[in-house]
Parts: sequence; structure tokens; C-alpha cells
Amino acid sequence: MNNSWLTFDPAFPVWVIVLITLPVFIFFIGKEVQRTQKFLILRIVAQVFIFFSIIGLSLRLSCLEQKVTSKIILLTPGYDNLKVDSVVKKNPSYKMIHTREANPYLNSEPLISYHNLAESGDIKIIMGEGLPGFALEMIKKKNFEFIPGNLPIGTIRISIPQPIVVNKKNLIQGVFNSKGKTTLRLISPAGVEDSVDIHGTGQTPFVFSFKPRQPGLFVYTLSSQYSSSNILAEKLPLEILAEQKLKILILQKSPSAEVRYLKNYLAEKGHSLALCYQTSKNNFKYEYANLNSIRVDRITTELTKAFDLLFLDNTVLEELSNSEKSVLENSIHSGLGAIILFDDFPEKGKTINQLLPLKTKRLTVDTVHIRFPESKLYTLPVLPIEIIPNAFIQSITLHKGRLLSGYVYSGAGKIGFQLLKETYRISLEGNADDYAFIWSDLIERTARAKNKMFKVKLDKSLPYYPDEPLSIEVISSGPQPSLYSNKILIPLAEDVVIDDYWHGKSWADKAGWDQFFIQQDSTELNYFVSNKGEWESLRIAHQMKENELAQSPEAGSNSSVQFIRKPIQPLIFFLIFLFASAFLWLAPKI
Amino acid sequence: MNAEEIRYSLSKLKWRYLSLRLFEISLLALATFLLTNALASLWVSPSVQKFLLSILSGLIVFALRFIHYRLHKLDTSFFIRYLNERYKQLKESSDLLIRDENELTTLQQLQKEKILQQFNQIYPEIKLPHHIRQSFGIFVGCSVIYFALSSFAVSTKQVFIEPVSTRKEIKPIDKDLSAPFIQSLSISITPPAYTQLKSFTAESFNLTLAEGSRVKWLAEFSGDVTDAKILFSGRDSSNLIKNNALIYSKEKVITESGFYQIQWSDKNKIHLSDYYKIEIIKDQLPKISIDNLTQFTKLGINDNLTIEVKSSLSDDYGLKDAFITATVSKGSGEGIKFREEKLRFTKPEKIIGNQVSAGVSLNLKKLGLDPGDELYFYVEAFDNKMPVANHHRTETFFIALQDTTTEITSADDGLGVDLMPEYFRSQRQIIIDTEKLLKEKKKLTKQLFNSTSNELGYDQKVLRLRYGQFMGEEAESGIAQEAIDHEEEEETDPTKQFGHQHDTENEHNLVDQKKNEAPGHDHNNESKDPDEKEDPAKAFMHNHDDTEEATFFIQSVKAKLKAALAIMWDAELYLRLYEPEKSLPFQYKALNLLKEISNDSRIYVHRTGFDPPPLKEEKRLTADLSEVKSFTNRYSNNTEESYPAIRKVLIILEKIEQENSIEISRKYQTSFAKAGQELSVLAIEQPAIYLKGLSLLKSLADQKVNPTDMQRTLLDVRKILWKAIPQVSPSPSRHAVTTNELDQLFLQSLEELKHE
Repeated sequence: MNNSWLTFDPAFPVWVIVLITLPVFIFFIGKEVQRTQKFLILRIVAQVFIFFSIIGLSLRLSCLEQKVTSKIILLTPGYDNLKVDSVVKKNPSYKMIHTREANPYLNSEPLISYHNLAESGDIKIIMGEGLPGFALEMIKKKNFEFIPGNLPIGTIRISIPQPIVVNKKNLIQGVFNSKGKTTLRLISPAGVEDSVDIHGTGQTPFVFSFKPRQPGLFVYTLSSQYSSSNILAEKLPLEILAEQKLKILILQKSPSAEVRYLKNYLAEKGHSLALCYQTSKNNFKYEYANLNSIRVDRITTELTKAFDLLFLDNTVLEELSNSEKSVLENSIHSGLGAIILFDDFPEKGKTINQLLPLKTKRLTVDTVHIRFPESKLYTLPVLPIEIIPNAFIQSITLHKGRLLSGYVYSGAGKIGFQLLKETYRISLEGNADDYAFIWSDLIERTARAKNKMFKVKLDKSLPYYPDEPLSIEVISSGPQPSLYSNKILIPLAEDVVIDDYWHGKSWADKAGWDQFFIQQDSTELNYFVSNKGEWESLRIAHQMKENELAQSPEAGSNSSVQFIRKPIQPLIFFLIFLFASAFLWLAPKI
Repeated sequence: MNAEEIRYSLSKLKWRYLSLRLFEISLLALATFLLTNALASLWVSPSVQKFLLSILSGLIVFALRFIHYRLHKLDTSFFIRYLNERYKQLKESSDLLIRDENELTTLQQLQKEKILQQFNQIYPEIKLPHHIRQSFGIFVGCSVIYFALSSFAVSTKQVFIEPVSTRKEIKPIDKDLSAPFIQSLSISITPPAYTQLKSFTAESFNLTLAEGSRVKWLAEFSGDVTDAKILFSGRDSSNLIKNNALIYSKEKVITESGFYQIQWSDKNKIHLSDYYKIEIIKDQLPKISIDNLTQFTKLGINDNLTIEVKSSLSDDYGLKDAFITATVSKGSGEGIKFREEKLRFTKPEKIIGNQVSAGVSLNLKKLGLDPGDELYFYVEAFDNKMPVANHHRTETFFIALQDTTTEITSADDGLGVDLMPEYFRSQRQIIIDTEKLLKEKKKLTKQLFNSTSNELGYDQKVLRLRYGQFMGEEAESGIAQEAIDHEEEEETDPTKQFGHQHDTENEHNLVDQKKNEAPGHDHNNESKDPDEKEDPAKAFMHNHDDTEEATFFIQSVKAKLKAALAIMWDAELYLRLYEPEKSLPFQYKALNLLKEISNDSRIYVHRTGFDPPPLKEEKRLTADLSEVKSFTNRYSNNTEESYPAIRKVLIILEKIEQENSIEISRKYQTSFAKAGQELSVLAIEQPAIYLKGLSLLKSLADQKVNPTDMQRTLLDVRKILWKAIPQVSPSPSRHAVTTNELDQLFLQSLEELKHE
């Protein structure tokens, strides 16, 4: 509690102890004085002893003790002998210890358990692959320097996209540390999805692409073949999500082929659609696909709440009444997505400029020759403007640095734009994937997102092993989360600094898919626990990174003087209390 | 020459003679060997006996001839005799040559000297007797006989290899050991008669056969069974006919791929065999090609107007008939007329056989072609398939008789917009530039001349790439880039102000181009409706789905454009070789073709012209909108996932695999059975891929998988089921986010920042 020689750790608040014991002490002193017996002085002394023993017991006194500890070099598996030689030469007085998995070095002593790290002294240097995260937590003062060994051969970094949605092209990126010509393969349950040949040695980045066909929890395989017989297959867990359907409203002044094909595409994919366009002065055509009829002739708050995305052309936008414009703006601020379809770029002062504040430059080109990933070259008409990029514009389709589609944030909602025209030609040519590429990203990223109460994530990435602690983070939209793992409630603690940010810890007991579950809104987090020994190279690479981040080397002498607080044994106070009380009991009888 | 030299010369003669005779005898012996071998092949089959017999006869002939020529007793006297007989100048005194000088009389010595001189003269020319030519003739004759007779030799395969037995046991899939099983199953296949294939017995229960084959199953059961039947592709069933107590049979004509399974009952228990595939080999369409003509042939009036058409026709089981369908197009514009004729091949007159090279001469004058007319023709062939023959045809070939008297350049009123010519002007520019370059050749340095020629070659390439786009050719890397480069070049092109710029980044005319236009050039007169000009390339797109586009005329345009592209290659080649004078004729050809393409467009427009219904005059301009009403259309798309049971089983399999389970829970059996039903539909179409999966799924559903095989079976089933799930195009998906107070604050700050 303080830095003085004598410190205490009260069992109750100090003022409570003082408030109770001091009047009692004075009362008993008074009583002793009043008693007409001998040994008054001794009795008062005994009372004082009793008082102090009670104080001592309740304040839980401890005293500072000076301790001289030697500095330690900790050797972990994969340490480099030459580096150790150099370190020992430079620091001959350092004590050497090695973990159970590491090879002993000359006079190094074994570290029986990671729990001993707490008492083993001042670890100054860690060499090799480092300590696992949970063992690092045992070291009280992390003023060590980490000298890494060589990176292991194998996958040392892997990035799995989140979320992986069915039927979409996904990319798995990573880095492979190779010792020669190696072939990497991504194998799905259906067979090889993609492969990469690595020539040469050292760290080589790789990218796999795949299109999952079925949602669910699946285990793919990442195999690395160094020679014909040397094949290593690692289980790569992937959670593939089903497509979540959207509710889309399309408002058009007059019908167009572009919107017709877009509507057909979205309706075929099962999205709920309402489409309205004017056929004559007072007549409209309404179409509802996968949706019950709803009044869409006027923009109201109820209408905008019923949809996730609104397509509207700039003519419709200009013809909206002031109240409708206001409703639209507010709805977008609350999360609604809107995509504006331009016939021509509007002049200044129009509503569109207020909604979509883009700086543009007129161009003399109205055609773009564009090639989408793995597609042929398309020649498409495009609105002859160039949008000058700024920090608020999120780009989706870029062609030679020119922004063709994107969106801007407006409150919690987004407003998107598409400059490409007549994209239906691509669909007509039968290139459904290319057509979907143009529209699906824009729609998906602009549409209103589903609001979840909680978000659960694990502190570290793959791999996770049985019986190793997993740090869980929960972001809440307000209420306290009740997180369960296998029907066991996991205690969570809210972050000291950030509101609604909760931390917890759990342990997986067996390999395979496991799940965290939040009771309030059924939020789930599926994760895969690997068997010990799987993803070894990745584990070591992560561990080295963690140790590197945890280190904070400081200069100092070979030995350090430490002051440790040693609690005074409560038995002493109890015995003092006992003897003093015994004397008070005996005094009248002597 | 002394006596030693004479002996040496005679010894040389002896060896020469011996060599010649041995060669002659060897040829005869070899000929005998071949002849014996060939004759023996007709009656004797084991090759060792045949070989020994042949060797023996060869050796006998060798020995006989050797003895006949007395080669074993060859001495000098033989040559002396021969020389005396053959060479009169030696005056029957050659024997003196070998006799000792001391033994000779003076006269003999004198004679010897004379003879010696004569011998020296004739020695180089001495011709020893032999019959090598005859022997070689006999050898060749015997070789021919050998090869001819080898064709009729007894097949060694048939003699030595035992026929493969197809009589195998089939145990029920439920592995009921007490149940009767199929002791043997014999499957005989009789292909349809027209295929001329022989009947055969299948070597495996998985059948691969010609379409329409008659298959006979003959099953012998190990015990009494009832209700035996064959289930075809999980849909149809046919009862097996009982021949006697244990033997059942069934005959069926198989016309489609699928699979079969045999089912039989015993004591009210039904047993099933494994699945076996039936793979049909379809009768292929006849293959036809025209070998000696390009798709587009242009003839001048002075060219030979008799065209030889040579066509190669082939079919897997044989052709029945083939002919040429020719259409003569006469006239132009609204006056165009077509006449169709069926022309027979003349060499051979009847098209029969697996492979035929047929030919016919087309006399264009006899067909009535005048200058400006065109002949379109294609070859059509029919195979011998019964009852309905397969038929196939070539692409349409074109022969145009040039009309040099007129060149149509006017735009057609019906078209509204003269789209085509604008695209074909760049070729003229290249021609103008080439001609200009040739005129100025003398004034220019060689380096400048070559460089300009190369640049023109580049322009020609860019032009070719543009037209290539219309043909759907994916240009070499970055046509777009090259197009842009070309545009930059055109800025310095002095002819640009007189031309009409197209194929630029602004070809869709969405941007006002007034600033870029030359004075007096009025676009409005050409393009009143920008929508109609948007995509001239559409005219050249190959759209299979659009019946309107799958016409004669579009093909003709495509063929011409193809021809133009080929010619442009040549034009570019000579420009690149710094020989613009050689390039010019190709450039003109290309230009002519491009002009013709532009003229062709008129025909298309007339054919598809919109014929509006007659207006009701009484309603016209009355502004009556009473019948125009708002309209609501509501519909639902079927968005159910394909193969739901297979998808469900995939999830189950993943779970079982993760649990390392060696048993399939009963709750999953129904799902497996349903997935099997879905997979059977696919197995009918592609039994090679899915039949195994179907079989394994059934084993899983019936819990008949050995625990030791469980993991492997699960992996196999999973792999096959994954393949069954179709790949579909992606769809947008709704994301999920968690918005907390911090996010709200962040958004607020962002908005404030935006409005600053």
C-alpha cells in the first residue's frame, strides 16, 4: 500500500478497524484502571499488546525485505548455439536455464514448470522460439530481450478471410518458409482447389483462391509437398456462411434494360424486391419479387425501415418532395443504404449533390475497356466524369486509377454510385460471374447491415490447442454479455478504459470444432481446436512474434537488488493476543 | 607377272567367285525360309515349329545349291577350265599359267608368255558366273508372298490366350451369407446391325456398349429365388424370365447411359446387388470438311468459273449419303432472289463407307451465276444409323462473282443510320499513306522510308485488332492500350481532319464532341438517335441464343470479315518488311471486302424491319389514356437450394469425420437414403463419376460398411457429393455488425469532420 518499510494490507477498511478497535481499547484501559487489583501497569501493557495484536491481524502487516537475485538467460527450443555462445561470452555471470522441450546447454538448469517462472528470478534474455503466451504472463517483470532462433520451415503466416460466404471467390493469403522447391495445395472435400509452386528458399508469400459451394463448418487441407515423399497436410478449418438475403427497393422514373436485368438477377438470387416506375403521367408499374405488396409510391420512415437498400435514379431523387427528402436523409443516417443510378451527372445545386458530395471532373471519354478478375475484356459505356478521390470515398471498382463504383458514409448508412452503364450486356453474353462481380460487392457493402447485439472474437488467430488458454473479447452494444462454452458460463470482465468491451478466458478440452455462444441473442463464434503438433511452424512463428512484442530490454548490472514484501506471520500476533489475554485472566488469581 | 603373282590373281578370283555364289545361295535360302514360313502360317500356328520348319527348308536349299556348285571342292582347275571356255584369246592354254617353268617345253614357254600377256589384259574384266539377279528376283517374289499370306495367318492371340471368363459371383449387398446369391452372371451384347460390330460377351458387369445394343443377362442363382428383376437407373424395373429352377434371363435394348442393379427375393427378404454402370457410346455425327476451298472465294469474270469442290467425309459406323446444297443469290437490294439446288458428288457417285474423299466440279455458268451474284453452299452427310440417320453439315462456303461495273456506296433508307462504312475508312487512310510513301520513296532516306513503312504496318495491325474484336477475337495484350496509342498517333495525322474518328474512348458519343470536330462536319445528320449507334459490334456478335442472328447473312458477313483479317495480316507483313508496293494489293483487297461487308448490312435490315400494326384512325391523337392503368406484378422465384439432401449429408459427413466415428447413427440413415435418391439422378447422366458414390451411400444408409473402411468410405462419399453440388454465380449477402456507443461517437465525429 505504500513504500515504507512496514506496509499493510487491511482485511477491512482502515477507518472501520480504527473506529472499532480504538474505542474498545480505551474502554478496556478504563476498566483496567477502575479495577482495584495489582499489576496495573502490567495489565495496561497487556491491554496494549492485545490492541496491537488485533490491529496487526486486521491490517495484515508485511515488511520489505531485500533480496539479491541473479540475471537469467532462458533457452527455449530452436535456440541458435552460436548466438548463445556470444550471449554467454558477453554476460558470463548470467545464470542459464532451459525449458523442458529445449536442449540443455553446458551448465543450464532445467525449468521444471512454467509456474516456476514467477519465482525463478530476473529473466533477462529469452532465446529460441520463445515462451507461449500463457507462460509469458507468469513473468512479472518483462524486462527481457528476445533473441529469436531461425524461423521454422512451413507456413509461418496465414490469413483467412472473414466472413467466407458461399459461392464467392475467397482468397487465403500466407507466407511459407521453404527450404527448396515446394508445392502448396489447398484441398477442399471435393479435391484440390488451388495450388502454388514455390521455387527457391526463404519466405515466400502465397495466395489461394477458392469458391465454396456449401455453407457449414468444413475442414479443408493445406498440404505442402517438399519432395515426392515429404508431404505435410495441415487441417485448415473454414466456416462458410450462407448468403443472407436483402430487401431492396428500386424507384425509377422510367424503365430501363439495366434495372430490368439487375432486378432479374437479384430476384433469381432470392432477394426481396420492390420496383416502381412511371408508365404515364398518373400511372405506375409496381413489381414485387419474393415480397408481399407494400405501398412504395411515397417515401416514408416505415417504408425505408422495411428495406435494406434503395436504388433510385437521379430524376426520381430530384422529384421527391421536401418531406420525402428529409425522410430519406434521416433513414440513410440511421443505416439505410442507397445507390444512385445516374443518366447524366447532375448540375450543381441538385439534391444529389447534397446527398453525394463528390468532387468531379468532366471527361471526354465515355467508354471503358475493362477486364474483371479472370474475365475477358469488356468495352462498356461509362458516365464521362472522373470522381476525385478523397478519404471519405470507399472505392469498389477501380480501373486504371479511375473510380467506377464506390460509396460514401452518411451517418450509419451509405450512399453508393455506379458509373458503369449497360452492364446487362455482360449478363446477356452469359457471363453471370462477371455481372455479379460488378454489382454484388457494391450492393453488399452499401446495404444496411444487420445489427447484432454482440460480437465475439478470439484474441489470437489459428492455431488453438487443447488445454491452452483462449482469450476472448466481446464487444457489446450495451448489455452485459452471458458467454457460454459447452453450456459453461464464462466469467467476463469489462475493460477498464473502453466501455462495452469485455474480456474473458476459456480452455478448449478437445480437438475439433468448438463454439462460444452468447445467450441473449444467440451470437455464435465457431473455432477449431487443432491437435497438438499440427500447424507447428505457424504456432512457433506466432509465438516468436508474441515474445518479440512482449520484450522490453533494459540495461543493468549483473545482479540486482530486489525488495520484496514479506508478510509478518499472523501467528505472532495471535500468540501475543493469547499470552496477553492469559495474563489478564491470571492476574487476579496470582 | 611371275608364277606367284598368277597364283595370287587366281586365288583372288576364287574368293570373288565364292562370295558371289554364297550371296546367291543365301538369297535363295532366305527366300525359301520366307516362303516356307508364309505357307506354314496357313496351317501351323505355333511359331516355334513354324520357325524351325522354315530354317530347315532354308538350310536344305543352301546345302543343295552349295553342293550343286561344288563350292566345297573349288580349286584352280575350275578357273582354268572356265577361262579356257570363256576367253578364246587364251587359246585353251590357261593351264600353262600354273605350271612350273621347268616342266614346260620351249614352245610351251613361248605360248605361256603370250598367254600371260593376254591374261594380264583380260584379268580386270573377268566376269565370274553367278545367278544373283535371278536369286534376288526369287527372294523378292517370296517376300511378297510372305507378306501377302501373313494376313491370312492363324491368329496367335486366339490360339494362345484363353477367353476371359465373365462368369463371376454376385453376392447380395446386405452380405447375408445365408441368402442365395448369383452364382454366375453372363452378359452378352449384340450391337445394332448397322454398326457391323460383332456380338460379344461383356468382361465386366459394368457395361460399355454402342447405342441401341441388345443386352442379354443370364443369371444363375445358387438357390431358389423369387421375384428376380433388374432395376435400371433406380427408376425402371424389368422382371427376369425364369428359364429353369435357378437360371433367369432378360434381354433389353439399351439406348441411354445409366446403371443397373439386380434384385431378388428369398423367404420374403429382398436382396440387392451392387450398382453397375451402363455407359453408352453414342453414334457420332458424320465429320465433313471441304479441303480445297477457303470459306470465302472471290472470282473475277476472267477467272476459271469451274470450281472443284473436294470434301473429306467420315463416320464411325459408315456413311449412307452426302450431297451439296447450293443457293444462288442473284440481284441486289429489294430485287434479290434465291434459288436452291441439291448437287450430287460425281467422284464417287455413291457415298458409302467409313471414310470417303468425294469431289464435284461446280460450273458457275451452268448454275446461272452472273457478275455480282453469289453462290452459297454447304455439304451435308447422313450416316447409316437406324432408324433415324444422323446428319451433319459444314459451314456455309461462299463463292462471289465480282461485278466490276458498279460499286454501291449509298446508304439505305431503311437502316436509318449508316453505321458500317464509318468503321472501314481507316483502311483507305492506310492505302493513301502507303501510296504517298511510294511516291515519295526517292526523296526519302532509306531509314525514314523503312520507319514510315513500319509505322504503317503498326496502323494496319491496330486496324486488324479492331476488326478482330468484332469477330470475338481476344486481342493480344491490351487492344485497349493500343487503341489509345493509335488515338495519340492520329492527333498528328494530317488526314484526320478529313476523316471521321471512331473506335475511340468516346465511341458511344455520350460526350459532346463538337470541339474535336472539323468545321463543317455535322454529326447530327448522321446520328439522330444515339441509342441506335451504341453498339455496332452487335452486328458481328455470335449470339447462339438469338434466332434472328443465326442467319445466312450474318455468317456471310463474318466470313468476309475473317477473310479481310487474313488479308490484313499479309498487308501488315509486307509493310513490316519495308515492301509497301507488295502490301498495296492486299490493302485494296481488304478495303474491297470491308466495302462489301458494309453493303451486306442492307439485306439484314430489310429482313428484320418492324411492321407496325395498323393505327385506328378514330383513336389517333385523342389523348385518351383511360385504358392505360397502373399495373402491379407480384411473383416469387424458386430460391430453394439444389440437392438439399446432399447438402445436409455433407454437413453430417463433416461432423462424423470430425468425431472419428466408426458407426453411422440411425438418425442419419434417412438423410443418406434421400441423398442417394438425389445422386441417382446424376448417376444416370454421369455414371462414371457418381455411381460409386451411390453405391457407397447405400452401404452407409444400410450400415453395411466395415468399421475399418469407414473413414475411407466417408471421404470417398464426401468427395463425390461435393462434386454433385453445382457452382453458381455469387449473390450479394447482408452483413452483420455490432454497433455500440463508441461506433455512434465515431460516426458523429466523422460527420463533423466531413462538414468542416
